[in-house]
Amino acid sequence: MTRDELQHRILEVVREQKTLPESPLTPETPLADLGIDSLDALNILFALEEAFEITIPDEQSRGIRTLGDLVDVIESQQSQV
Amino acid sequence: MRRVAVTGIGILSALGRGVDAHLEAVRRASSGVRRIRRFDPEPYVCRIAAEVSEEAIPDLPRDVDRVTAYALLAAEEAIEQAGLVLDAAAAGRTATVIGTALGGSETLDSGYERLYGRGQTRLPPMSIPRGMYNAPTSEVSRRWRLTGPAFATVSACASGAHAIGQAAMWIRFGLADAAVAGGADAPLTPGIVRGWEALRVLAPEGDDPARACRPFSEDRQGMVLGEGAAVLVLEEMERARGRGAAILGEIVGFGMTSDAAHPTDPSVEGEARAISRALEDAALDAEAIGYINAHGTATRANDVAEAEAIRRALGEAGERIPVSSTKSMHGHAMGAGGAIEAALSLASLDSGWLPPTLNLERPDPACRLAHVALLPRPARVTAFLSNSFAFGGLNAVLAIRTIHASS
Repeated sequence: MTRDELQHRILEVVREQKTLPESPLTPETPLADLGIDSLDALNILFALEEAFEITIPDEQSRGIRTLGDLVDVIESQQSQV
Repeated sequence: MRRVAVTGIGILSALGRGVDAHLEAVRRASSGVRRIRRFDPEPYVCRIAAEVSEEAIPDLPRDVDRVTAYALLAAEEAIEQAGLVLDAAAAGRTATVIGTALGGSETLDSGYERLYGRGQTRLPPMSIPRGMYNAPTSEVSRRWRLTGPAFATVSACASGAHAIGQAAMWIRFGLADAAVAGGADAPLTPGIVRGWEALRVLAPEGDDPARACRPFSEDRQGMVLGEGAAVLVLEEMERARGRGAAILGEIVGFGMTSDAAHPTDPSVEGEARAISRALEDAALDAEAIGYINAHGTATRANDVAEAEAIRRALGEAGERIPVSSTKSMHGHAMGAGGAIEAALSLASLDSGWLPPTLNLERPDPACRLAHVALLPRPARVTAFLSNSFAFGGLNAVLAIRTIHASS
């Protein structure tokens, strides 16, 4: 899976949890700007763990601020499988 | 002393959704007990229950546990009926108390199934917020922005009665001017059902599930699990009158005791004291009581002890006052039970009918009471008692005046 494909798949999972604005998304877009609050973030991480069959450790999850961060974390966890 | 009016009623149970559906069920003497549909009951001893029908709740909120969703639907009906005006000042003086015996059963049960059944280690993030026992109270408070006193009462099968009693005391003593109070439970999950099976008190399916629950009957076979929610809107009487609200009833007395005895066996003494205290608190004589909604679980232990407690507390009147157990219709709704029973009784008596005990063809001679057996009966009752006697020996009795009481 390319990074673009991964980002696309991640966004699909995110959209199942949360309706996102129509505005274009970039890897630098802060998740908070998408209306994702702390509880939404937890639900999204849980859904991503299920979808990609990975475990995202707490210390890694705390550093996630942007869509790009999310892709980095998933990518790093997938490479460990 | 500040008086406590009832200005809104909301009920959801196996009998249907809303007060009107429940009044219809009372008049038809119909049962909500059926074969379980929520999960495949075939491997279970317990194959019947009084389930809330999914057709009645297409709009069930899905972002909360079922117990909270039930509480929200019942509260919505009660608050709409009351026509509560909730500006910031009024909301700050409005309390929320929703009792529950078993809390977010579906959330916890499905979480444990992931952990122990499927060996997974990660649970959904909302497991704790959905599963906690104050979730119904918190979500009702949040939905209507009720910012006054709020917490949940937890006393097994008396939780809903304790909630109404607690809220009434807050209004009486000036801690709040209004309250949204009641009980909710949604315990029809594999884990909880297996727990009840282990107590060996459940009625078997038999040929006709509607006949399974037979409180006070010589041929009783045990209890039938139920679920649902009921919520009352309570208001300080002068405020309610001042805004022209319809006064549906009045919480006039509340009696609470603890048996401090056996974990599951009832105590006649503890129950009788709770009944007596409710009457004292209401400053009513036994003669003034026109109906008693019994705890009436249809277990031998409960029914015989309760009948004796009623006679002990009320003397001769205890043998003349009409008594019924509506659990024969809506099952044992756990922490919702006390609230459903108080709400259903008030609505039914307001409409001029004593609700019946179904399937009571042969009353147990050990339960000598004036049963309202099989069919509803027309009557003009001005005050009644609603008994709730919980496992763990926690007793709560509400004394309530109906719409027919001249004030």
